[in-house]
Amino acid sequence: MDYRILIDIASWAFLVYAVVICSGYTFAALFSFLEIKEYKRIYNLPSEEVAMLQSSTLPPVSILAPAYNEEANVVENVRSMLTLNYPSYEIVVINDGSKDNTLQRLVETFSMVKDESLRYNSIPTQEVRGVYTSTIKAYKNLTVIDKANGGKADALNAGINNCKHDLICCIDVDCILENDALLKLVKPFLNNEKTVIASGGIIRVANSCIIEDGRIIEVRLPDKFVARAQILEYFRAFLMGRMAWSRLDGLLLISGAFGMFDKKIAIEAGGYNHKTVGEDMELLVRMRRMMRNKKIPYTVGFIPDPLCWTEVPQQWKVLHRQRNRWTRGTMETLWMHRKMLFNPKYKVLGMLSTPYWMFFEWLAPIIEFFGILFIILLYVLGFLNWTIFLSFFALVYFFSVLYSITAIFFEEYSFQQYKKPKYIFRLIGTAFAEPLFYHPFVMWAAIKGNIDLIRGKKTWGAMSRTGLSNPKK
Amino acid sequence: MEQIYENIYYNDWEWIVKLNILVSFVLILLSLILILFILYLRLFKNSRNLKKAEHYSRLSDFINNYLFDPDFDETETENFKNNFLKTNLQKKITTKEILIYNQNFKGEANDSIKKLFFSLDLDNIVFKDLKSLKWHRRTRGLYTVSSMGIKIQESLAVKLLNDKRSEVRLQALLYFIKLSQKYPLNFLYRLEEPLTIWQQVYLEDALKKYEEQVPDFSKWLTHKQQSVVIFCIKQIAVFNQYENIDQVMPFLESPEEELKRAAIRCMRKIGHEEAIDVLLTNFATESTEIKKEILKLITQIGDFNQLQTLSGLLTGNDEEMKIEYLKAEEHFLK
Repeated sequence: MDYRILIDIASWAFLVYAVVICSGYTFAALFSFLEIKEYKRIYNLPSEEVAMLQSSTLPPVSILAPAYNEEANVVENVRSMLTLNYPSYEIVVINDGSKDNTLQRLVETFSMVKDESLRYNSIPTQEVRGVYTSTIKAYKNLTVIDKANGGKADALNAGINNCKHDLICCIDVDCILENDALLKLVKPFLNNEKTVIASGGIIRVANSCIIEDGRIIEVRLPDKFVARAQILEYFRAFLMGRMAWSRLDGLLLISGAFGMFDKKIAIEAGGYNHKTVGEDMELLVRMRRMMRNKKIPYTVGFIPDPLCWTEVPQQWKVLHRQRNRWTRGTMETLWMHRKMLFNPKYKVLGMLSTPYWMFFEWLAPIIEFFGILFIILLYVLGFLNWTIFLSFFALVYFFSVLYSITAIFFEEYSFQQYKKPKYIFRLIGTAFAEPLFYHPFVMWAAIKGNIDLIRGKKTWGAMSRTGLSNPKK
Repeated sequence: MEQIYENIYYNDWEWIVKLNILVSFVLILLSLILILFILYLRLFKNSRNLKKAEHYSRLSDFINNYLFDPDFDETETENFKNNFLKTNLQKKITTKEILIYNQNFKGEANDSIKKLFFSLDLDNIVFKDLKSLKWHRRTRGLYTVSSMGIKIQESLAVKLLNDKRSEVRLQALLYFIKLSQKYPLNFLYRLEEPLTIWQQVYLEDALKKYEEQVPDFSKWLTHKQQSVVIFCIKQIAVFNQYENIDQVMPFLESPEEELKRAAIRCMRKIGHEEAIDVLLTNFATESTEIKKEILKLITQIGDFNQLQTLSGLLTGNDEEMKIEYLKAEEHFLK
């Protein structure tokens, strides 16, 4: 066969893929817009939140916060959680075998003593060395579990085993929650005729924001390009991606940084899987799969309010590790649940969600990478038509810029968190630079994630953070 | 089409370059339009906020004069209506503010506020809202009429009570309770849709604020909607209606787990020990969740002898129940 025909076939294959992916994104944007519009109407309705906060009918919630080497901030973070607006909740901090003084800091600050009560372990975990409760009445809703190191999934499972309430809210201990975060996240569980197995919210970037007493006082845009690019990524992922999937009831992921689950169903599904680094996605997929197999009508809730703020990596090296892990987590989950793929039995999940994750999330960077290699090959062989190449490059570039600007528009239309006008211009500027200077790096991290998974890498990789201290005003 | 096919066949890619350039220009144009739209949105929101602040300040002065200035002239109301209630935004803000005053003032001032609401013809907007095809307007309309204590046609209220949107239904439920003189829950007879827990929370709150006699919840223990029955069982405990215990007792043997759980919790809150003996009879065949509820009931209102009748749990295979039993035992032996 003439190799020119092979080149033609490859060119057409890349083109078709690009058209499919662009159409997918366009549909996601349309669905998201409808969902945001609907939510805005609900958001603007008159409500009597005070009534809710005084009600004994609201179900109590257990907040599970795994901590590993968090000595520096853990006390402040727990204090901030203790002031959340919700009538009844407990905080369970799981010290996952920290090598620093995380446990001692908690025990000393909150006057905690070992609680020898009997407990049933529904899910097997690494050894629990002790459960601590406070002797001070004001902290009676705080529990600390000290256990041998087993990773985030194992720590959360220990939390599930030892918490009291039927709804669990799994968070990252260093996240900043909005005061009414629990009240908003619990709503889907209570205001639905179907069984709600989980609900999630939007995660926002806290870098450079002004924080006081563990609360965001002023939202600021980070100076570093890498952090700003991630803000755009989060806009796209949450305001466009997950909003659309929520409308279709096809959500496969509730962020590990902030999500609420029905404890009974989570236990029935087997709890968090410690064999994957994408434990948050894997648990939700497994829960959904179980409900579908049991033919129980159910749904997953999603709240577009900015309820949880997190620090994103500002160092390229740390970002690389994070994206590498996310890729491995996605790949592992898709492989574990490969039977769902294109399986009409799972309806939207089988026919849309899992194919989307496979083609748009997992395969996209790989195909993109091979696309670049293909261009290099054409150039080396002297077949590269520069006019055609540049025209395609312009097309893809302007599409990604438009997509990011649409995400900024959605943010402006919905919550308008970045109040200063200069922030808008800087975000628009970032939208133009991001496809050239940020995206290739993220793509490479994903490729490395694939390679690492094939090589059998299972570790999380250290996620050093600079800390959410206040920048100079 | 034929031309394109021929071009592809002969590897003439010029057409695609033209297409790419064209689409790129369209994308650039769309990006620019969107940027302009973002800027417009920002300006629009800022200007709206300014208008809001301006109207709030003017409105606040007007209402304070209306309420407290002895020289207030009725023509001022007419002037305000003609000059400052022209746009939808102004009407919305005015309604919202009047609702706040209505909530905060009692007695004569409250009557005056209500009078002002009608003088400004805001009731006409509300009635339009109630009949609107848009669900959020219907919700807003219902909220306003129930807050202001305005009666609407019974048939319309019942229609909204069974609206397809839960937000509208919630406001309709509250409307019925707030405007009822004697029988705040009689609307339950006409409720076709199930009550969500979210709605139940609001209902409970409204009932706690209800100034007349609290209804007898046992009337609805035979309701066709299970959620209504569960709500009533809960309220029997919340409002300590001891006289209704006998009517709740049969639910301890209900085949529906949710009903049974609600009944056990009701017994626990009310402290009705006789329930324990009934529950112990069928203990072995209950689900784990119900068994846990029964153990909790014994721990709170029962005695050690009743617990000991379940000591068989210790020799069983269910590890979780063994631990639950031991925890209960620990409670009595402490």
